[in-house]
Amino acid sequence: MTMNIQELLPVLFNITWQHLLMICVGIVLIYLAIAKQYEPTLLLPMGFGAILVNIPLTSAITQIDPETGKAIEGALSVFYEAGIANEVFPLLIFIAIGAMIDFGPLFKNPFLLLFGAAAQFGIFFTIIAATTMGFDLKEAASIGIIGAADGPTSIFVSSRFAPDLLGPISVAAYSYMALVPIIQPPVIRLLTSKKERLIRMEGHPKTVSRTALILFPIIVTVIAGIVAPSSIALIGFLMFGNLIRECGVLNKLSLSAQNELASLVTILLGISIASTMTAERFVRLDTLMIIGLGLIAFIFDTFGGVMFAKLVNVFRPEGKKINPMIGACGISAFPMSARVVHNMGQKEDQYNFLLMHAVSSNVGGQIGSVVAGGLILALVPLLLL
Amino acid sequence: MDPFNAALKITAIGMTGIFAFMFIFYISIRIIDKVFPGEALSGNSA
Repeated sequence: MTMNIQELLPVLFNITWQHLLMICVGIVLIYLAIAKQYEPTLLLPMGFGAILVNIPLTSAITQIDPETGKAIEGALSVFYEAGIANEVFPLLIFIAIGAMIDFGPLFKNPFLLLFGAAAQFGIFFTIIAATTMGFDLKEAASIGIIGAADGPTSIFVSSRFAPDLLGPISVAAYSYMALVPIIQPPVIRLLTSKKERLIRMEGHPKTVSRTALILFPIIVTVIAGIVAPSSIALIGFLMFGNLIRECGVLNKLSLSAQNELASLVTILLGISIASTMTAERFVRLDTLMIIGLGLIAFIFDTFGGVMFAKLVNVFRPEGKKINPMIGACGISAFPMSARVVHNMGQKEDQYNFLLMHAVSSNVGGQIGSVVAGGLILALVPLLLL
Repeated sequence: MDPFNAALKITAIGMTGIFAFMFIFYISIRIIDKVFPGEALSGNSA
């Protein structure tokens, strides 16, 4: 019996330039994760997964056997169905994130919570921009949510509204989150004067009661549930994680949520998303448009936050003005955005300590991004009726 | 409704909604903080 080389190495005869391109994309993501440390916990599994699913005839994803016509299940497709299609993985990540968030800084200056609303502007601006580029409303909403600067929220919304776009949306969301130190400073400098960047803000040195910190996640969940029940899964899981942290009697669970749960689910989340990064789905003009729109979302988030701070300052007396750079921290990229703004403030005036205010605004952004996700989940189906 | 008009509507309702939510949370924090003023340091060590 003789076998020809095509039967021995079928992959070589089935590989296309699109597969090779996607394998290169996977290698680039791995490079960015390792060499540049851009969100390595997600980009590395996604990069490796992209290689796994783009080798022709791969057993990592479900394939139809050409001889029998039966589907042969692949592990990554099984993970995807088990954790992303039903939104379980992003929700588990929310428990972990909730356990990591300290809402204490918000109690010291709760007004800064409003910047967590203003800096979601990029989401909505991008939704409008995406519809002008030919995306339908569900796709546009999924692309716009990149501006939440919050990976799990992006995955949650896009897995429900546009699962075909999940791969590029996740890559864009995590890449731009890692690029916040590069994206935000020029936008902030463009929108603010040196005098504004020099504004010093009063500190709010006070302690926060444990009861208050325990009540906060419960009250937020109840309010969100009453006003927008469709957002309850997103906000509720985040607040559940936070309650574990703040209750003071579940330290072991809190640590597990912050470490083991976060690590395990992140591995599964990253590699499962990669199951959508097949050449057929990824090598399209849409992908480039999504990457471009993601950048627009981050730029207009920063714009929304800074401009809202400038607007607020119109009504505030001298000495009580807000440094407009604080507005830019209203995005969810925590603590990176707060650190960027603090460093920018110190570059202008080394005795200007903006970190605590920036952190408060940034924590507001973490809540704001989840609320935005919940509202979009509620509004899009209503407008499609 | 065409997608562009729907997107404009989502923007108007969405931004209003987020500000409304945040304002409610702001009021909630003020009330909680008034009723349970600082008695310990924020958060735990977990």
